[in-house]
Amino acid sequence: MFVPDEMLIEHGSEETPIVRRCRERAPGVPVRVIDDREALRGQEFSAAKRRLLLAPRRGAFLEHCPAGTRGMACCNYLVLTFASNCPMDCGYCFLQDYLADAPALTAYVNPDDALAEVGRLLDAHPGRRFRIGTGELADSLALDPLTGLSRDLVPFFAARPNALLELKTKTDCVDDLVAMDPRERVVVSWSLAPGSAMRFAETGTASLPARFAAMRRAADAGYKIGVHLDPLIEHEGWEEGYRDLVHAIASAVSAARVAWVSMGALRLSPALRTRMRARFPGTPLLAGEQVPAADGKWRDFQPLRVRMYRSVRRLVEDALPHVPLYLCMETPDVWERVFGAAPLRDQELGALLAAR
Amino acid sequence: MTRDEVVAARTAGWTVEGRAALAAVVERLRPSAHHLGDILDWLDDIAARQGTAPEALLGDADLCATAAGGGSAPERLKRWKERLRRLRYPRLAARESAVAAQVRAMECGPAVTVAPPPALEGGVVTVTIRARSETELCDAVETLRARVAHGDVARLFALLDEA
Repeated sequence: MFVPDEMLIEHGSEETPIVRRCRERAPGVPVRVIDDREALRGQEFSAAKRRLLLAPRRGAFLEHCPAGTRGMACCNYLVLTFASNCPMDCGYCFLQDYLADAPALTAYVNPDDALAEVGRLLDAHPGRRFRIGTGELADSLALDPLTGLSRDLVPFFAARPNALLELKTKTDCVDDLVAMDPRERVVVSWSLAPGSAMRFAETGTASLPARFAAMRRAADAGYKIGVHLDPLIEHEGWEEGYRDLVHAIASAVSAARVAWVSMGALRLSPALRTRMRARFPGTPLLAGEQVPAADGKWRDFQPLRVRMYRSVRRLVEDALPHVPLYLCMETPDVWERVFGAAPLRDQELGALLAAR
Repeated sequence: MTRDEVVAARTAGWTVEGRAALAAVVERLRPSAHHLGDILDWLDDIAARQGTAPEALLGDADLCATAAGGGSAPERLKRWKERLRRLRYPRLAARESAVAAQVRAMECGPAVTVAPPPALEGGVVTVTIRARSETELCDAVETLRARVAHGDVARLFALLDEA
């Protein structure tokens, strides 16, 4: 469980359920009430990850996933933001650029406002099926042992027939989850990479055995399981690494419980590359043969990543038959090369996955 | 940042000899701050892959020969960066060379230009026909048709498909 160095509570939030839970669950952590989070700006990024700010979110909680931009095929996914930043520190993570100036790891204390926003959307479109995830600006479960947020989310979505909630994580924090019945409306997804890549690409994430154990517990408790082989990291021995990884996934959970598997290339904006170079000098993540792609992000050059996608696709289809497999943030051209056909129209792909 | 500031910031951890070697390259090739940024990025990336110090790569025989060779500074810089790019992107550069060789082997003539995508990204080959008459156009189309029938075009696209 992540234990912050300090808890900062924005004035006016002291009596919210999230704050009360955090204080109860981490009683030894120093607490400071602050007037304005803006005064915290200018903190070093790694230090900011160790400081938990509890404050209300002032803007919208629900947004369209940014992946479907600039020529990339889209799966019509919505992201719901309950937190911002992450206690883990993956070398490839876009947050190190996107949230470079963020003063603290922030958990928003007004989840009721978020769920009201979601409720209005779902009620307005009862005939549509939505796929909504909380793992865009933060790991979905990293703060759950502190905030207990899943105890609000799971019952809400379990009662909603036209939405599927995805909780995406690299942790093993499922203790609160397994005490609830998701009624087939919640997918718990793990982002996974071979151990050989984790060693140089991920800091602070749960080990693979711990993640697989958590995956089993979640599946046994009635959750569907999602798998994100994203980013695919090309490194020495990657083919054996992904073969072993996919076999381990299939050993941990039955294909019948797997809602979907995604694959995505390592993709780095120029600004992120600059940040990585400064924060992780000599990282092998920058030493791959990456070039700018259609959206300006650097990816392994196309024939190489097509080879990787095809190779991993074969592994997944052999080990997890009939499980939907899709590409994240890829061009229709690459989709066609990997799957033999261009992607379905956005809404069709989204509906296919939401119906799982 | 100016060129000197870029060099100072990026080579702070280098050896004295390494900084001197880079200074010699900068003196001979006169790269802009932008080109120098590319060069330093590539040296770092190659070094990370090979487990060497970035400055050690400056001793590469081809790089040294190119830097000391003839031509104007911009011409030498272009050739030097191309050599460094081949070290930075060995598989991509090899595949690009194979694609270029395949295009040459197709011998489509001066009326037909076959351009692969930059850095092989996107998979789209641009074919341009220049014709001053119907006869020239028909000749060019016939040439391309023959290359398709011979399998040359399929081989070209196969090179763009998977590495």
